[in-house]
Amino acid sequence: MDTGTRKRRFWALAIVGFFSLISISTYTYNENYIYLSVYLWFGFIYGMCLQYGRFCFASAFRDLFAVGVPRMAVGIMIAIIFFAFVSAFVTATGISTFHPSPVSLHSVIAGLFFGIGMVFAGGCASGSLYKTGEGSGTALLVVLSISLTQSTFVDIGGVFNKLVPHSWRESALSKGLPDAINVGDGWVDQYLAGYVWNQPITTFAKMLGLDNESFVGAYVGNLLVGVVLPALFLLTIVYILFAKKRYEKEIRKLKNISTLGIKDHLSGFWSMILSSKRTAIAGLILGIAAGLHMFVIEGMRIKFGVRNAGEILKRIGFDFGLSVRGTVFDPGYWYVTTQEAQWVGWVFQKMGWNHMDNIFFGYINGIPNPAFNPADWMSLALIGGAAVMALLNNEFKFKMPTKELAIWAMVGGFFMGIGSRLGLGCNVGAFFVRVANGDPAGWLFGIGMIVGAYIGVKFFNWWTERKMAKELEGMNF
Amino acid sequence: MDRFFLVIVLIVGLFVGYLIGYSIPPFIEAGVFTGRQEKGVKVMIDEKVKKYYEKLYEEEE
Repeated sequence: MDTGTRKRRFWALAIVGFFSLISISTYTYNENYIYLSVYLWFGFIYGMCLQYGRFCFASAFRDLFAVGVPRMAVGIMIAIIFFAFVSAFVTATGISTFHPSPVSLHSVIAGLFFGIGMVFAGGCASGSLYKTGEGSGTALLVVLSISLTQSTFVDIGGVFNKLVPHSWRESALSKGLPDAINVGDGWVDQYLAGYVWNQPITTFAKMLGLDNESFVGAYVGNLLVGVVLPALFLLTIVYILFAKKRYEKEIRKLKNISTLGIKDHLSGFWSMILSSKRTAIAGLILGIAAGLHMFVIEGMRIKFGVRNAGEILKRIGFDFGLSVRGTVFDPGYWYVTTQEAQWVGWVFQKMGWNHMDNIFFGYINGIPNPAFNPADWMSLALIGGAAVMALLNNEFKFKMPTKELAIWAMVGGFFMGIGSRLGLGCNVGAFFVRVANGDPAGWLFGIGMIVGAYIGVKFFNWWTERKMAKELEGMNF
Repeated sequence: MDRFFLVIVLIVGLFVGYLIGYSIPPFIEAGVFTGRQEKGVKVMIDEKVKKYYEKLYEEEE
């Protein structure tokens, strides 16, 4: 074994050892910490899977729209189907911690912002986290930019209040929120309480008149109608637009025929599916892990007699930053952006900028100390898990961003931060998890994200060509 | 497959296995796996904690 391999293995083991030590020592100190360890170890698995499957939505859409390679986009669709199978099981057994989101046009607009941002940044919310684990400084900047944008955006008022429609303001004020929440001051507050909360919440099962938690509702309504059929439709479109020509050429050459039958196209379609094996395997494990995550968290909630980690934090002696309802962000499954906003919100709060008078932090998610925030344990462990996989695959390398990449990362992160808060989640929380759980809002966010990614790719190409033309001009070429 | 990778998977598996094992008895006690009458799980909330949060809410107001 060479020195490089030995060194990489040492660091991989050191990372696993670090998380093991945190888990064991905190559990020994106080049993309640096991609740946080659930997030830690599932986050670690998510990180390993994301790195192994190169699970990045930005790369997937960039490959598709810029060079016509559908491999990763197909892999993500397959991963959603696998995850949906597990989610249907979890829902049917009544232990799901998933809550559907309000359905309206706002999800499409949010997805549009997010899609543009992820292409500019060169990585989506989950992709930037795992790439940070690979040592990418650019990805870390993206994460910082998303975090900063979100925590600022949710508290911004003043002149932005003038942009709030009167009906939103009236509706928000009529919600009877506690005085501690200054709902009349803040664009996002009035957007949430005055518009988003008024939108219908449903699932595909409910839309078909089925009980969401019944076997038929979960498997036929949410899985078959809500995921498998739309995913097959999208995969067919991807095959026709991006893969058909190449397979036609290959099959024509192989069989020496001029016209292809339906059987040949089915074989081409299947080859397209199989070409994304690595992403699909990662998706399968992600799906199983996310399902188990929900199961374990629900078990812990019964065991400790709580409905939210806020009560756990109180018991272990950390009640700073709990929301006015005593809650903190505790989704019970895989999520990315909210905890990123929280840690910057916590820093701002400590610096004297009151972040607890808005709905996002003060009424719903809180801003607990990042060292004891369950979802932050998940994100940190996710980076750790990705780092371990990168070290074992010899893909870990510290890379400082160039000035240009840093600017793109900050701009992209800004757009993603805005999109995340408008859509109440990112490519994971607002799309991947929602779609897999039969929430129509997930598809709406996805439509916006695809359109946004397309616009982002076209703009990026235009920018690059313009820049190259200028450089060539300067060289008198 | 790389034996070292399997060691990592084993360590992660041990922790996750423990967490799964830890969460199963509460489900059994709540009757989720055996003849449950209704969907969902009844949660026993500590009354002291509940009162604490009610007071917290009042204080904020």
